[in-house]
Order: sequence, then C-alpha cells, then structure tokens
Amino acid sequence: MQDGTVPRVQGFHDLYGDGYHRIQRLVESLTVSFARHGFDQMEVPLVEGLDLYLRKNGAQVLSRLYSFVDPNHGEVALRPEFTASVIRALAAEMENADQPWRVSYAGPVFRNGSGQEGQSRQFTQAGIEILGDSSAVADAEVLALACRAALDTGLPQVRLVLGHLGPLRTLLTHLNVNGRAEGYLLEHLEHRYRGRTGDETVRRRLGLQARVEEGTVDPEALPEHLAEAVRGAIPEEARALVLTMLDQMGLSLEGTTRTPDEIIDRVLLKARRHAALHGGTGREDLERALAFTEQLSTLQGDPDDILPRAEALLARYQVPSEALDELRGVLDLLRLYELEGVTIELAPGMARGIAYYSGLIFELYAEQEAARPPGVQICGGGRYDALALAITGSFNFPALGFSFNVEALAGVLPRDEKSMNHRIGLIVLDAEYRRFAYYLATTLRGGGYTVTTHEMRTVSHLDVRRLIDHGLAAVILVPSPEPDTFPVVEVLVYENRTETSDLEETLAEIAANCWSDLGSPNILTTGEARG
Amino acid sequence: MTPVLRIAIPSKGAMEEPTLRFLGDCGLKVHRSNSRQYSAPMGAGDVLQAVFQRAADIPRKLATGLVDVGITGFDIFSEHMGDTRDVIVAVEDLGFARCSLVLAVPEAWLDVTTMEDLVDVAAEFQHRGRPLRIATKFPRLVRQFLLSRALVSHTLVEGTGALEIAPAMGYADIIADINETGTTLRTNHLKPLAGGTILRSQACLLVNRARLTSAPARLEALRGILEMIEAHQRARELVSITANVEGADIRQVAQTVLRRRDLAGVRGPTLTPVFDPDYPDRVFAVTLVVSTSQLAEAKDHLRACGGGAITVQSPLYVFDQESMLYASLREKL
Repeated sequence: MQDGTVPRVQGFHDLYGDGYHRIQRLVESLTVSFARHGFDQMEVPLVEGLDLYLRKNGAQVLSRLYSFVDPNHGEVALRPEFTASVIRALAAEMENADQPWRVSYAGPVFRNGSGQEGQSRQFTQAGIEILGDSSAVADAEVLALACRAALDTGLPQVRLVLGHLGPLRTLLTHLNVNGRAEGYLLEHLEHRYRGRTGDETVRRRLGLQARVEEGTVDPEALPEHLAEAVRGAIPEEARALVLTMLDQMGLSLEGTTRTPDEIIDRVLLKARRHAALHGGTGREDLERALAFTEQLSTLQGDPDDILPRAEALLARYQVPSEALDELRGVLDLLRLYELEGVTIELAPGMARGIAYYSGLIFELYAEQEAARPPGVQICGGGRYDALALAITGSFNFPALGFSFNVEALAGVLPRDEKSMNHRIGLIVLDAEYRRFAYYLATTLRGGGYTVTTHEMRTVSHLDVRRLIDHGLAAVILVPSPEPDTFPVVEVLVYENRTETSDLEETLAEIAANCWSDLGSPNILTTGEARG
Repeated sequence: MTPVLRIAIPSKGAMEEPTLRFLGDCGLKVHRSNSRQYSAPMGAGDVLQAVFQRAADIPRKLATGLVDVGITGFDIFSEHMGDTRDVIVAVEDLGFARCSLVLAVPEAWLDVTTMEDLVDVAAEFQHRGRPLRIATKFPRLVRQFLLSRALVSHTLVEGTGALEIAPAMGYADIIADINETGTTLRTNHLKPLAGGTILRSQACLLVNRARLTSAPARLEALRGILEMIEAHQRARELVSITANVEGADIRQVAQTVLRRRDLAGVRGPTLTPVFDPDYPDRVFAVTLVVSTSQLAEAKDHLRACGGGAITVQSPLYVFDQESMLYASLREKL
C-alpha cells in the first residue's frame, strides 16, 4: 500500500489464459455430464443470511465463513457451499412436489482461511442435489454420476470411498448417549479417520478425564448446595426440593430468556447424568461408545474385506447392521453401472465433518502416482435426510448430493489440450496482406475456430514457440517467409498435438480456398501477390 | 520539523489514563496542553509524536499506515487481526489494562456452570426454534471460540456500550464481554462460565511492519521507545539493597557475601570502602541488585554477614547490554 499499488487480497487469485480455460472447461464438462443425467442447472445467491449456514454446517465450515452485517438483513455470509441455498430455494416447490427434484449448480464459494499463507479463499464448486428421493436406487445413481462425471473430464482412474453414519448413530441411540456427547463423538470419529491422533480432548469433553486446566472434574457438576439437595431425592420430590431451597435462599429464576421450569428440568437432568457418570452405567456407556468409535475409524479398504469385519464389530457391540445392509444394497446397484476406471473402497468410520449427514457418505479421489495414498480428494457428498427440517423449520424431505472441487480436479488433470484445439494465431508479416488475412480470419471463425491476429515485421521460431506455449493450437504466417509458396501462407502446428497433420492440412486448404475466393490478382490492397 | 515516529495512544476511554501514566513512567511523557488536542509531542526532543485515537480504531489506523506505532488492548488487536496484515505485536505485555474476554450467563441459570452446559442449552434453544443469542463487541473472537468448542447454533448480537443489561432486557440470552474484577457482572446478576474465558488481555504495543522496514530513522526512534519500556519493566522487577558490612578486608567481606551466590547479583556484589574513623579499612558498603521477590531473603543474608544500616532503593530504569525487545522485534520484521 505504501508505494501506491492496490494489492490483491490474500487468498484470492486472478485467473486468465490457460488457467481460466482449464476451470471453465471442467465446469462445462461436469455440467454437461449432470445435464445428460437429467439434472437441471440452477443459480443461487452469493450472499445468504448467516442463519442458513448456522443451521446446516459443522464448525469446520462455519469457522471459515465470510460474514458481515447487511444493514437491511442483519448478519449475512458469502456462500461457503451450495446445498443449504438449494434446499432453502426449493423448499416451497418440494411442498407440492410429487416427483423428486434433480438440480445441478456451479460457481464460486468462499471460505476464509484464518490467515494461513497460501490457502485459497475462493474456489469453484460444481455439484448436484436430488431432493425428495430416499431410495437406495437414488444413492447408487448419485455415486455413479459422480464417478462418470469425473471420468468424463479426462481422469483415467478414480477411487470412490463409501461410508455410512448409521452404525455409530445407532449405537449412540442404544446407549442413550446425550446429543452433546454424540456431537463430540462424531467429531472425534472424523479426527481419528483423518489420522489425527489422541483422544484427550474428547475424553475431557465427555467428562471421562479430569479437566486439568480448570480444576473441575466433570461437565455434569452442579453447584454444591444444589447437588446436595437433589442427591438421593426421588424424582417426584426433587423438583419441589429445589424450589423450596431456592425460595429459602431468596434466589429468583425469573427475568431471563429461559423459564424457571426449563432451568430446573436441566438441573434434575444433570443430577441424573452425574449419578450415572459416577456409579451408574453412564461412564461405561461412554467408554464403550469411544472404544467403538476408535475401532470403526480404522476400517477402510476393499468392500469384500471390510463388510465382514464391520459386521463382526457391530455384532460385538450388539448394534443392528441395517446400515451395512443398506451399503451392501447400494454396492450391488452400483455394480450394474459397470463403471470402468473406478476403484471402490468401504470406510464405515468416515464422518465428513458435517453433523447433518444422516446415512450414506462418500468421497472421490483422483489416483496419482505422486500422491498415493490417499490421493487428491476431488469430490464429496452424501445423504442428509434431516437437513430440510433444520432449514425450513417446519417440514422435511429427504436429500442427497455431492460437489466437486473444480480447482482440485484441475490440479490433477494432465495438461489440457482440448481447450487449445481450435485456437489459431494468424500472424500478418506484411501489411499489404491484411485484406487476405482478415478474410481468412473471418472464414476460420465462421468454421468454429478461435482466431487472434498479430502484426509482426519478422517472426522467429522462438516467437512461434511462445505463441504456441500460450495456448494456440496452430500459427498461420501471412505471407509465408518462404518465397513462392502456395497459398502464400505457412501453417505451423503444435507438435505434441494429436491429429497434427489433419489440422495442418485443413488449415492449408481453407487458406487456399480463401486465396482463390478473393481472386489472386486482386488479393492485395496494393501491389502484386507473390506465388 | 516533522516528527520521525507517530504513536497512536488510546483516548476517551478506560485505557487513556493508564497509558499516559505508563509512558510517563518510561520517561516518555506526552506533553499535551489540553485534553482536546489531537496530537502532542512525546518524550524529549521532537522525534516522537503522540496521536490520540479511540482504542478500537488503533489497529486500523496502524494498518493504513496513518501511524507507525500504537498502544491498545490485545483483545482489540486480536479481534481485528484478520484485516491488519502489516500490523505486528512488538510488546505483548505492557503490564496494564489487564482483563479477560469471558462468556457470562444469568446467575439464575443454576444448571449452567461450564461450556458443556452452554452447548446443551444452545441445543435446547435450537430445538425450540431459535439459536442462542450472544451480545458482544468482539464478534470474530467469540465466533471462533464458540465453534472451537462445538457450539454451532448461535447468533451474535453486536452491541456497543453496556452489554451487561442485554440478558435482562431480553435482546440477548447471554453476553461475551470484557471482565476486569467481576463486579460489573455480579451487579448485573451474571456469572462467568468455567472454561468460558475466550482471551486474556492487557495493553500491548503494535507496529506497522512496512512503515518501519522502509525507514531506518523510524526503526531507530522505535528502538529508543523499546529500550525505555524494557528498562522500566526490568526496573520494576529489581531492587537495590545496600548494607555496611565489617570484615578483615575487602576480599574477606566479598567471600562472606558470596556464600549465597543466588543472592549476590548477576556478576557478584559491589563493594565500596566506608571511611569509618573507628574501624579504618574494615567497613564496606555492599550493594546487591536482586529481584523484588528476593528482597527479604537478601536482607536476612546481609544481616547474617554482619551487615547493618541496610537501605533499599528501587532503580528507575535497568538497561541490559542490549535490548531484548528490540532484538525480538528485528526478528519479527
């Protein structure tokens, strides 16, 4: 700022030339794949009310939100993803829909990188949602589409990793673990699955381990006098006891945004949990849930190997295996698509960070020699059957979908040659040939080529090389530096390009036709034609 | 002559008075003739200029390069950290304006004592169809903290002025605000949560990196300030204690005192002859510089060595061979 230039904001990038075309071509390729499967593209706002994202996302995304205050709306945020908006937008349609909705989207999303160097804060997502279909057939359709769309962009090989939140959620329900602990355990599963070590944080949060830094032992602690009063009282008496005690102490529970009943209900709930944690089954249940989480997080690999192992684990913990049956069903359906170039893995311990996933979840990786395992993640998604209720607040419909990270995909694709196929540079070496050159350029453009014209006095191999490196498929010199050539042009094409000779021949032929169209004697603005 | 270095100083708030006192103690008195003056010379000479700004605005004024150096609360700096890339902390702990940013809930919420309770209560609110509302002047720090504690469902109500009344007025459920002694919270029937301390803060010295690296004269002027701050802080930790001790000769007295190496100063005691006409060449003034916490022990030790007439003085400034603060700033730059 000191020297007067306006700096680019950290984490944002300018995109032009080849880099721009790579992203555009990928978005187009993905969108075309989605469209062929009946997914109609839609657009949603870049800015949404902050509440929308608070209702949907986990802490991982929320901590990176770009939020600010809109004077007319209150707290708003740049979209960090599309799903919440899509559900908000189509909720009204869904109320009267008798058919599932299939939509696709593509565009920039924003995630603040908490100041880390080099971290991109804007990237491109392209994805789909199916709203109103809870069937396994829809699950398989979505998985197959993700793989198909990835392969269609030119990736030779992808790895599909499948998981399911069912097993852990079922166990937690059976063990009667409270909602807060469930959240902590899901987050822990995610950490363990991603290879982050240590369980101290979750043990402390669950109250299984003393909280050294604050000196309190467990999260279910109540103020001493209250704990005394409630301890040992039978439930029917406890409420009256607490009220009498508060009365004697002259403490009022009025005047806050919670009612006295709500406060006392939770006092009693905490007393019960406290009793369970110290002597009851609560502690044992939490330890059990934690051990199960740990073992689940290590399962990943070939479905034929993982399915029986997961079944054995579930049996050991007496968890019904419906979720695994569901996965098996989806796998069977997926095989019918006969996808070549797709390796399927099962990872029942995958959690994907977002608490609203309800069943199937998956991630897609590009297999690369350099980065294996785990490869580069290019896509992720799953089923969120309770999300609509959280967003609409009144009614629900099943939903599932995925999104590609287009920049990640661009990073793993080999150099993009297709986008350059039809870009031609036309170099005018002699001003007298301008009329012919412009005519040739117009003709080529009419034939679907992209043509740029350049004026140069002389041209060297290096110049041509440079133009080709800038993404041109071919360079046409007008006139050819070689004297007495017909039709006065020289066509130079990108050597490593496939179908080289075809392009060279085609271009030479078009030039020849143009030459005779204009009639060679009158072709120049002034002077005589050579050749 | 235009001043070399412009220093932003908090004005019109709780930090103004302690900042001016601190600078005065560091030998950097601000010569302000009336309280409406926007800028004033500072210290000796005309190198330094103090510029008065609202404490909350100082990080932004620094970021835009309007001032080179600033003093403000670490809490304010942390809240604005994202948009002030060129602003770095030169001294984290100036030792005044200590406070904490805490989450506080109504005292009547008997069931809520920890962050875990708050997560539960937030879920209850969500279940009833609206998120937990938190009034605060520090939206970024608070949001970051809540998310790191897995408290996702919440709305921040940004406010200025007295937030403590927000829960009673009903426009927020709880607050996240600065707490110094706890009195204001108690008066308003609020209590801090265990595990709900978002940030501990005190006054800090901030600098604009680009402004300093681009002009050696500014850096040199800042070195002067850092030296004085460091010498003042060092001086507060040390006392100089002197006693008259009698002995056979200077060497013998020194050896007696050195029996407690830990109380004999960094390099050893300073001994000066005292010309006592009754005991010529036998009395020496022994001076030890020790940390304030060692004073009682040092006094007892000197007595045990036969010392009397013990006097204790606080040094005004203590300069070391080189300034540690300046050296560490150079590294950060």
